[in-house]
Amino acid sequence: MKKKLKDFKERLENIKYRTSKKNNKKKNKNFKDFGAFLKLGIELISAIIIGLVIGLFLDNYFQSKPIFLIIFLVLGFASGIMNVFRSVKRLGFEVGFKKKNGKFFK
Amino acid sequence: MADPIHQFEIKELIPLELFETNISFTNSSLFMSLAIISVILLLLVSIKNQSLIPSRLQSISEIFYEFIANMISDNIGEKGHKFFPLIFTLFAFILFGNLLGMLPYTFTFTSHIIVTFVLAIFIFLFVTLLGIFIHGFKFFGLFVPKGVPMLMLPLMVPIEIISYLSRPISLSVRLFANMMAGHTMLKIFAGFVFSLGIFGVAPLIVTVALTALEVLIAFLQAYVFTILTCIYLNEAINLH
Repeated sequence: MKKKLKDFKERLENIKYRTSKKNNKKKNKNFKDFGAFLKLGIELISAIIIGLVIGLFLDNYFQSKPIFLIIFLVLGFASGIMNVFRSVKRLGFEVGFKKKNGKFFK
Repeated sequence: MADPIHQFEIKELIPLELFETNISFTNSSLFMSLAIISVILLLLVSIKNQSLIPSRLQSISEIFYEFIANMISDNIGEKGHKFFPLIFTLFAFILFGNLLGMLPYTFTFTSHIIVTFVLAIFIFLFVTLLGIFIHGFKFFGLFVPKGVPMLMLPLMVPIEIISYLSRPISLSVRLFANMMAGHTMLKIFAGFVFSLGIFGVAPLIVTVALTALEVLIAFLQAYVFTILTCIYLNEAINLH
């Protein structure tokens, strides 16, 4: 009896695992895409803000008024664009390089 | 027309002061407490009469649990289940805060940037410290993208660092802006209903549709906030 129950549990787990994997992929796809679009604008802006803050801080520290501000604003733009690019392509941390097995994080 | 910003006003319910700092119990704190109490109540009541065939209430908490558990195993993997309590609490807190705000006469605490920013900055610090704790100095390899030529590194590393630092801002502003914009829009359209008289039917229909959209956004933003936390945790735990 106990062995049978154990076997049953195993089979149930197996089926659960298989079905949950299938259903999840189908169900959540549209939902996830919608979430991805809502965040694009903010991804761009937030990196620019960080670039601005770092630039102003360094200029204040080294008394070198516009130099660091200009440099870090440009870098902020670049990383903002990269943020957007990443969230659109759903890449990991690498820039413009797909992982070898073609699997991205979801 | 009614003031659409008025709903976000903080009111001191119980004025308190400690070391010349205002720590009053405000309507924001009241609804944070209410959100936590309602999560605890829901979970406690739903597991009271457990059975193999779940009742409706039990199904809710089971779905709730499985949703988070699946999110963690999809995004982080086996190692991530240590952080289940963190993710679950975060999701429940934000979701109930958003949903409580959808009821009339309530206050949405997620519509204040300081609330979402504190949540985001704590996650950011936690993830960074966790990464350094697990991987030590190797964690900073996160800022060196793979497959980039050596010549490009002086340019790429600052860009990566800025991109990394921008996370708490994008995380908090996204939630705050969505909640605040949605509630302001609802109020404006609802204000038209009375001022337009018989033609107020049109904005009334829009308000009904917007309410449905806002409920969707309440879910979606809580989901996005937690899934991004999962992704950040994944990077800290597994690097890449």
